[in-house]
Amino acid sequence: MEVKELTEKLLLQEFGEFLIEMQFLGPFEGEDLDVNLILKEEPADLADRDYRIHRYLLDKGFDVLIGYDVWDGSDEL
Amino acid sequence: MIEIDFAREILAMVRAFLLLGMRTQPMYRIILSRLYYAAHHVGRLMLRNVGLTPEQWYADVHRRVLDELERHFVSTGTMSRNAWRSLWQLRQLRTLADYTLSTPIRLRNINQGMTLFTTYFDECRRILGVI
Repeated sequence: MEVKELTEKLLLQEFGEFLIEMQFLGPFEGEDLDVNLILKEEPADLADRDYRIHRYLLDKGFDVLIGYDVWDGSDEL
Repeated sequence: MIEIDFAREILAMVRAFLLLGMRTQPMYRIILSRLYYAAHHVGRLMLRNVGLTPEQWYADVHRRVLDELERHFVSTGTMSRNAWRSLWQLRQLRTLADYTLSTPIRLRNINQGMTLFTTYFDECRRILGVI
């Protein structure tokens, strides 16, 4: 399975219910993929969910950067 | 420990910039980049303390620092998953800041970066016995 397909599957498994948008970016340097998630709210166990994804991807040899942004409805800079 | 001093100085600099109202896109991008690299250097210090030689790594250094931190500190229960993933997320924020100029960096991204940095840095200092 390709890195993007695998990452998307894992992110949907862990964050599907919280997800507003999944933005795929990069890669820009040595990483395999960059993903930015826009979430409705932050799950209380985000650290554990994020850890599981990173650990799984590292075991598969993939270096994926995942960012989490909780949308607050504002465009304030 | 030069890495700890550097990280403290970066944190103080970022707080000062924000207090002075330096809230521009270039400044936000500089802040996220400096926070990540300060954290990365602390990670290298942690790994040197367990006998590794990150200064001799020439490929995939950023990924390898994270991988080795997990192996030596997280899987042994010394470092929390939350601190470890904070470094991952800082790395992602830094990449976003440095490469995606079309995506505005928002104040909430800066606040998030500060929280991630302090979570990670506080825990590293605790492990290193440097308060």
